[in-house]
Amino acid sequence: MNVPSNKFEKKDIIKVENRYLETDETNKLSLIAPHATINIIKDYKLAEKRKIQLPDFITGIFKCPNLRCVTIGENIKSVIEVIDKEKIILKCKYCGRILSIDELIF
Amino acid sequence: MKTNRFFNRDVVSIKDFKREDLEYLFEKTDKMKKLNPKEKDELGKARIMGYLFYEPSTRTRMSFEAAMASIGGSSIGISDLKSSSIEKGESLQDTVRVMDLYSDIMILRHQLDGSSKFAAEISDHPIINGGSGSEEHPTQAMLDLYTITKEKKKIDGLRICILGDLKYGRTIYSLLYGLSNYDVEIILVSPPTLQIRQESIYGLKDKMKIIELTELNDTVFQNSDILYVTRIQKERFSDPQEYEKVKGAYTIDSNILKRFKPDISIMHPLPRIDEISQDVDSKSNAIYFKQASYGKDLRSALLALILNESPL
Ligand SMILES: [Zn+2]
Repeated sequence: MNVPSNKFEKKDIIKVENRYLETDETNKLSLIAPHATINIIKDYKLAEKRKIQLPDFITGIFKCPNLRCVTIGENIKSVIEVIDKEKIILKCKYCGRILSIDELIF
Repeated sequence: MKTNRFFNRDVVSIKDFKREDLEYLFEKTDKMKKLNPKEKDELGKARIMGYLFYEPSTRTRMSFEAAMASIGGSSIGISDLKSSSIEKGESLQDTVRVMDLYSDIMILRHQLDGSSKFAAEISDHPIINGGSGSEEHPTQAMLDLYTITKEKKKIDGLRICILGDLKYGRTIYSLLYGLSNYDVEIILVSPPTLQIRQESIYGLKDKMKIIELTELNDTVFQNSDILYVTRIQKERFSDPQEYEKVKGAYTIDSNILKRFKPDISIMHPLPRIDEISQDVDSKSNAIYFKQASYGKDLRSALLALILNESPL
């Protein structure tokens, strides 16, 4: 959906139905949409308005792009550390490689 | 009783150790050298060091084994992959877990980045990284720094030239991070195809001056206090002629030595092939064999400190 916005010219809305999203779930969105707001609607009413926040660690969602990383070679759950929340600089907890969002592999 | 700052600690990355830690370790290494054999023997008595070497490295393994023996402990381990279960497909996780049951401290050498970090998480006993992936070899960096303090009586203020394969040389990265605790200047000299990987020295250029060159020139000759030589491996070149050419241009012999400052110290992590010619060995500038000896001392102290709560 594409609707008019006060702050920006237009905004996009993504609707997820019949499912309550936990905070750590919505925080995962921060990597794709760092300025998004989450509105939780319950019984047709706005129940909660949430600003997205980058977590300190992102566990298991992305793969480390370093093919020589132990998480890849030994098939271990990845742990990506967020070392700078403003500039969004990330670091693999295991191999220590400094990463940008674009480098992460789903 | 005060607990020493290395007690029960993992040695995964040189980045985990601050200048105070390093200075503490160097001081304890000096102190331990003065102990008599009987006193040393008490430090590792009845303790077992386990080692898992997924990559061959006779030097590092021998150094650790000698270090453990010198404090009265013993070693068990696997260094020959071909004859072990690892070859049959056992995961790193399982192998580490089993070795952890048999030993009080473990040395791990593995080809993957982050392997020691992972091992440290799953083992109950401390892990020492004996070389992992492409850029971590913390105890080599520690012993290199210790060697510099012994030979030059300081590290601050020195200009250190690192020569050779800087792209694949694992020890280089750990050494650079170790050196970044001090006020030093770095001159890196390598063939154009083997220059340092910029993504692996993240943040280092903010901490110290790093000059990058592709040949030995007057900047190097006139300024270097330490020349740290590493091997250039033939496998890195697709063209054998190119390798021969490069090899010749970076070899240190007694002739080229004359162009350096008279008090330059030449280091090498060993094994050396022909990047330093043997006619340099007898010169007082050559400290690479002493470096190996300092390495054993430092590793003895490190093992003793990790295994014993009380400071030495
Ligand atoms: Zn990684």
